[in-house]
Amino acid sequence: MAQGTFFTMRYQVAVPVGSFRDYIQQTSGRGFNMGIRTVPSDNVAVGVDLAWQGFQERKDFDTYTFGTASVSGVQFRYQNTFQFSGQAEYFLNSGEDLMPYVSMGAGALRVRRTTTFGLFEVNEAPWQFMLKPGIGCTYYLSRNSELVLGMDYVVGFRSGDMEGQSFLGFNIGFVFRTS
Amino acid sequence: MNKLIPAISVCALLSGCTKEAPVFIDELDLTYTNFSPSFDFQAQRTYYIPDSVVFLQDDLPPGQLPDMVNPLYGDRILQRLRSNLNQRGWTQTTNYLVADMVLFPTANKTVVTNYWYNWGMWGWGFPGWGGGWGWGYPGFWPPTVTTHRTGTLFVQMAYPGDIDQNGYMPVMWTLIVDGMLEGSTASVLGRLDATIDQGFTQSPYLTLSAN
Repeated sequence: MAQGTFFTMRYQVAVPVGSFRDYIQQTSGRGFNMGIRTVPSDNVAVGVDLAWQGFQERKDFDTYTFGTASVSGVQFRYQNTFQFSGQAEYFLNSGEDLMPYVSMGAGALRVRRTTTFGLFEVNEAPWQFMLKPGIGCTYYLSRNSELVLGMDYVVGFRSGDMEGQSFLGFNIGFVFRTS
Repeated sequence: MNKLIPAISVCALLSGCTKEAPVFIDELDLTYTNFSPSFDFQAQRTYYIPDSVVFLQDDLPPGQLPDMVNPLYGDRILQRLRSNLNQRGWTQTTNYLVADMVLFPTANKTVVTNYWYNWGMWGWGFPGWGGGWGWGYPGFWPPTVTTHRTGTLFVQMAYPGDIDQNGYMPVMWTLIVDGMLEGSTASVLGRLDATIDQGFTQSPYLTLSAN
């Protein structure tokens, strides 16, 4: 892999897992990921990622009980997650058309959760520490571009009253090289 | 190729951006109930309910009677409350002075309402109980209710047998139905029925045993 700088842009579909799945189960088709990397050696790239994923789900009419209080109605749940991470990738088959890679990211996950219940709305917006291991591959398209397919496991860690918000992301996009 | 694929991915991203939101007005309806956990509902048998639903108003001048909810809706609310209570073993009485429980149904369309509104809204209708009273909520606390273009129905079930020295009448059960005053008349009436019924469904402690 030629040394230099490259940018990535990826569209992402994500599936909630763990305790996040207790809140929303619906798969999200709303996400993207942008990154910039430098290539210090043939097999290694390091840089940063900015990503967003929007989740939502309609919960059918149900009754929720809190102590002596009970509330019934239809809920709409929305959760936007913004990811800011430092990233490192290790590429196999460097210099070939098809280059598998493994990656690891670490950074911050900003959660913006809104739950609407009738005309009422509850908002939460915690920050969580995040790890983002992943695997994928790139495929040569031209001298300055490659197709990239990947899977990331975004792992959020509990903060305040909110459990870690984790999801699996499946992404497709492009690598654009500057040199 | 290099231009086509990014265009396809942008289209895919945009296609997933539609935000899911309430489509039907009944998706905005909400039924809230709460009760005093220390109160023995099973020891009660009779209830009194007024023949009108009071329309809650801010800053009602002293001595002035509050407006009543349009009987088209008010009568339906009262009928539904009565039928639910009767089905659950309660007996209506026309003398509030001898009733085990008294229901105070009110409704409003204001922006923000504290559920513990002034007793004076009712003082006119219960001469035997005088004025200057308030509500007590033993063991629980009702919320502040925010309404928009829709309205809210409040029902307080109070226990006059235990009015305390400060003149507070303990409220043992509350029902709040929010979001029901929009739509056609038939739609509003149907949703009133459904939400009031739901209030009793989620309050099984109101069902009296046979003995």
